[in-house]
Amino acid sequence: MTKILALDTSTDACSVAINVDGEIHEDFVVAPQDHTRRLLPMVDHLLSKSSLALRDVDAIAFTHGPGSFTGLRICVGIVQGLAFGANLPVIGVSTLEIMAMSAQRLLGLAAGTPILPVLDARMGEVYWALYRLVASESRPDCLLVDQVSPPEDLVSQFEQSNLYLVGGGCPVLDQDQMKHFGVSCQAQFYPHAYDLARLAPELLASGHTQSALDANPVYIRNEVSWEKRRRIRSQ
Amino acid sequence: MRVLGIESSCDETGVAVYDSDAGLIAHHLYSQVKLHADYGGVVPELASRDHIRKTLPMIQRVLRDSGSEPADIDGVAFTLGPGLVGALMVGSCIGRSLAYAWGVPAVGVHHMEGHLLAPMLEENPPSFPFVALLVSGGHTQLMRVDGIGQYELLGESLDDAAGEAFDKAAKMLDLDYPGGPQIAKLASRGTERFKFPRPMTDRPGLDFSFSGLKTYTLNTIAEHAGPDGLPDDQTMADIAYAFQDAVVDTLLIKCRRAVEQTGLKALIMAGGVSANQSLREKLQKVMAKKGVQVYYPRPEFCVDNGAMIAFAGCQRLLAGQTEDLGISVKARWPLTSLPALAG
Ligand SMILES: Nc1ncnc2c1ncn2[C@@H]1O[C@H](COP(=O)(O)OP(=O)(O)OP(=O)(O)O)[C@@H](O)[C@H]1O
Ligand SMILES: [Mg+2]
Repeated sequence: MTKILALDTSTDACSVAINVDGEIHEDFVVAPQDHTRRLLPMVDHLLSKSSLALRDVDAIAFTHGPGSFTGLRICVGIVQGLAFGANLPVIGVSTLEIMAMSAQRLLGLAAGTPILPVLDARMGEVYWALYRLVASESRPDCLLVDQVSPPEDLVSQFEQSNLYLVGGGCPVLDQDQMKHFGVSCQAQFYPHAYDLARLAPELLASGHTQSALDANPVYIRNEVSWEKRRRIRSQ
Repeated sequence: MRVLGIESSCDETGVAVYDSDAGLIAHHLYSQVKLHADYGGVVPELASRDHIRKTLPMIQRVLRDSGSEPADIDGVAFTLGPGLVGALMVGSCIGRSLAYAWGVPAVGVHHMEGHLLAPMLEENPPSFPFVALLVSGGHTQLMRVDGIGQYELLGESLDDAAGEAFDKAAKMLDLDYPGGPQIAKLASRGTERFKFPRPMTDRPGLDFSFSGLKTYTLNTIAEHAGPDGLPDDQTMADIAYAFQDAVVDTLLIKCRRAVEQTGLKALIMAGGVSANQSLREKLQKVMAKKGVQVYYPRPEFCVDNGAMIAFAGCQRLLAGQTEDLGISVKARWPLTSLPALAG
């Protein structure tokens, strides 16, 4: 029996899921700016609905990013506390990969579909990655890894092609850039902890776990430039 | 009761274990000062990123140092506000979820109540009631304190906080952040050459204003500036001296008024600026003359730290106060809005 607790707060959505031997329950809300108030009560509610105590769980999975910096830290902070306190391993997964899996399940996309999850990275840029969906129970193939770029650089990576775009980064692309991909996008699309809970047993079995102490956000954007102070005399 | 305390409201990560019987048994502080130095002030995103990396390993270390097993911890306290939202969220999320996992109560602590109660971590702690001078990077307040949560605001700064004034003056003098210790160091080589104004001391009341001192400092620097825009080294030291003297003197005048007005015989001082040696010495002297006992924390507990949060949290947990599972950090949070503890 594998039991997984899965958490995501990397976008405006906030979701928690529990997978008990393939049976998955999820709590999902879109609650911008309200993640700290929602997340732990949702965890508690879902555990008690499943008649589980936290220490009955085998591992805690979380989306490590990319996403809202604050959202990522809320999730990682809660996961660190839960996992350290209950002595559980953690499993960090790309937000974009979970979006690809959520899209496959919720939009009924066929195996073989190339999918491009995009998130608004602010400063006129997007986080994105390219996945190809495989059989619905398995991990999608990652064709291009998580990265951040201006939309024009994203567009220039592809010949005109039928990619499926999902996620809050869609509005960052202008109409011409959208047309380039030849499909309409799903901007109101969020990652779901359900799919994280679906993926996690495979990662747990293959040893893709970390200690709570090593759980950290993967921001992708690390070179945020702040203006440095100019000094007059060297000290 | 044994409490784990977590502080992450600004640019310091502090973790401590306080025991209501054994006292403070372990504490550790990590300062991000070096991280922010290049920017001349705290960069919130960098602060949050550092807190999320440092907090949990520090918790592990402090638990080990305190000889505590998780089962020995009876509650978790974390700073809920006021402070930088992103930074507060890190300590609050970790602290709240850790308490949940351990099955113990948690409490969100007011950062300034932490500062205010910090003198009680020392030997010979003050007893209520007393006057409190809170002087930190974000606050300059005089309070009448009749018990935990029984705070009456007597006066406060109408503009910059004293610590903020130190930091801004330091920047004008081309000194590193945080400016308080730098100004103090430079002032120790200074002489009584300039006399800066003592803002708002010529009228009754217990409010402060430090922004005028900023302008005065800037003008004095400009008057004596050399080709690079700064005065010579001795003049710089003299300005630092005059600035510190003006702040210290202003604080002293208002403290004297506060004890006269309240008739109380004890005064505590807390917050980063209370680490200032000149302020400590002069306050001691002035208050001794009035028969008022002065209390302050050891210098390392004047600035932000986990010990004060563990202590304040322990008092509130002992009184049965707890925090829900939902977390709402507070960027602003008046100290006077806290509930009083019975007893
Ligand atoms: N020796 C000193 N003399 C004067 N000021 C000092 C000294 N040491 C520290 N400070 C000042 O104390 C402040 C930091 O104190 P503290 O950490 O309590 O403030 P904060 O946490 O930033 O603000 P707050 O507690 O109001 O939220 C800085 O402004 C610093 O310049
Ligand atoms: Mg402080």
